[in-house]
Amino acid sequence: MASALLKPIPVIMDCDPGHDDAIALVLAHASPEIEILAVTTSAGNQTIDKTTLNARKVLSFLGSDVPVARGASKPLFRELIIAPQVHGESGLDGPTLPEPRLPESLLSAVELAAKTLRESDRQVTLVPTGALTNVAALLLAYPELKHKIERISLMGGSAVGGNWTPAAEFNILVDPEAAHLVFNSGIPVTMCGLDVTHQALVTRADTERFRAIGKRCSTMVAELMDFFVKFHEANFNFGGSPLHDPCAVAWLIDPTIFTARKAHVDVECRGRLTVGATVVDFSGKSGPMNVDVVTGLDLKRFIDMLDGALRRLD
Amino acid sequence: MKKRTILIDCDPGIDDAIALLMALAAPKLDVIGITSVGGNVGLEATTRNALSLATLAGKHVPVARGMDLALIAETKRAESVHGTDGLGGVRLPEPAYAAEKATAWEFIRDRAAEFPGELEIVAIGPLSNLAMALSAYPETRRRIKAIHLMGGSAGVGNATPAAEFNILADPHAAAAVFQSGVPITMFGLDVTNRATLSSAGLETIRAFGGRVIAPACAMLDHYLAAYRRFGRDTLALHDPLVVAWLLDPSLVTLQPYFVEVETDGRYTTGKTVVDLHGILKRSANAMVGVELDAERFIALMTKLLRSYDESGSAKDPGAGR
Repeated sequence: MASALLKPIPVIMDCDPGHDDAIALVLAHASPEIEILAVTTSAGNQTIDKTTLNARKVLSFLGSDVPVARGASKPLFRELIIAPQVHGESGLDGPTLPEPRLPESLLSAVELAAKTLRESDRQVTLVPTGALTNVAALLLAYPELKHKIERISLMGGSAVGGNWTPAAEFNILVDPEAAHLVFNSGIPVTMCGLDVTHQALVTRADTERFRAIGKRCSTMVAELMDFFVKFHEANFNFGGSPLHDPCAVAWLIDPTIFTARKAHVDVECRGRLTVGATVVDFSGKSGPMNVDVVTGLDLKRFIDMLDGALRRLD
Repeated sequence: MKKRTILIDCDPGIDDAIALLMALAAPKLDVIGITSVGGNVGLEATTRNALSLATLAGKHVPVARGMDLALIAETKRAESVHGTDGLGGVRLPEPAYAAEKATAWEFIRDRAAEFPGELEIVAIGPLSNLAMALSAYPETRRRIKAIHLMGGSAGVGNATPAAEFNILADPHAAAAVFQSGVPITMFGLDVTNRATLSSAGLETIRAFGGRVIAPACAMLDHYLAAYRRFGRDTLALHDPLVVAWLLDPSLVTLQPYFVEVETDGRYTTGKTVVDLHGILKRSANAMVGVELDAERFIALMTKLLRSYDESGSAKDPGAGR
């Protein structure tokens, strides 16, 4: 457990709220180990209009003044695919959130990220929990700022099978070229893919435990969970709902609750059946092993971490 | 007792060799033919090896030559694992007979016509011959009872990070086989990588001695050395698992899945895309091995290889089908 004596990790959250993105934002905001410098939004779970509004609503609800900048409305080279079945028409169906207090940043996602990196006196960690469009665009537009990025802790991909197609996980599938650029950027990456997130299963009992905390934020998160659980119960047989995005934040807060293996990762952009697949090479023969592929977690400690975070917020 | 009618399509190859020797020793299996394919090594070598193995086993089983090269893709070989001759340099008896005049795909067509609804094909090499037979002779499709193949993986590959060798060696053929509608049992790396034998285990088998066990263990010495060069300390008996399962289905747990093969990925060519979560909502086209009992598998393999030296079982090479 990181002590208060250590400086918090400065992060830029790049997200497409999205129920689990929203919970990841809550976890990051609530944790003394993390300092959110900026939030940028991507399209995927819903359109950029909706994800940007949702991000602003969540931050407003949390009482945060962190700037929110709108990202690309579509992937680098492809048409957008979205996931209304999972996240609803608004992208955050479930709780009623008040209108945001603050306007969007005048800067684009890439501009705000570049500015944040330039102005930070320390290296910054990027935490993308949606498609990797903005991150790839940042690396392409400002390669001279790469050295200011300490690590990219992302939710996406899978060594074994997908969730949107049999071979591909949704975030990577939305923008495979962007993902390939990010994984091959040379920057250290923590890949919280389905290998671990399909083990990060929250049950209805966990939802009730959060609701029983009885504060504004814990109630809001419980309501997010209620909606999110519906899709997973109808379509999968996991015995719970995988809470994907918070894993990428939780790894930064306490990597000891996870297990990971080093690998080289390429992203398939061409195969008819396998576009969006993260091809994970644990042997390292195909390239530098800059990716920590997270493969397991201590579920009890993960849920306790979320519970603790929700208790700290009102 | 009604024997099962079996045709083995193979590219011996050390683990193919063990699988062949097991099948030829099994009283419950009537191996009516062997078809050779280029794969681990070239067709000339795999054909000669199949003939020599049948001769070693004392069985006159017809061997028909098939495809040397993949249907469309570039040729892949695995001499680094099996040696340039395909058997790790182990000398086997000269073949007691010659290969058939018919090609492998004509042979498969003819045997399926002879045993409609009964013929089961054990496919333990690249699937080039099967794809040829199924596309050239469409009526063959309906006549084949099942294809039990060693190939693919629901997880990571071995030849490349995404693909297992047999499927990588001819991905288009594999795609055609999985699209064919013939019932498929797929023994991929998910189970075969766990069908392991250690150096100590190999010594236990070698200690039994015998006219088949001695050369089999010599081949496995070479095979284990190759695995060690790849950083493993045990060898995996991929092809033999298929034969063992035929004789004892309780050895492997199977689950039905819809499976397709990627033929044109930059990194994923040869990947068997297994729809583990039923996302596509398509009917299953294969029973896929997911769990195995490795200890009982090794015991069954050992028993079959030893049976060549049991009294009264010196097989007459003239005793065919």
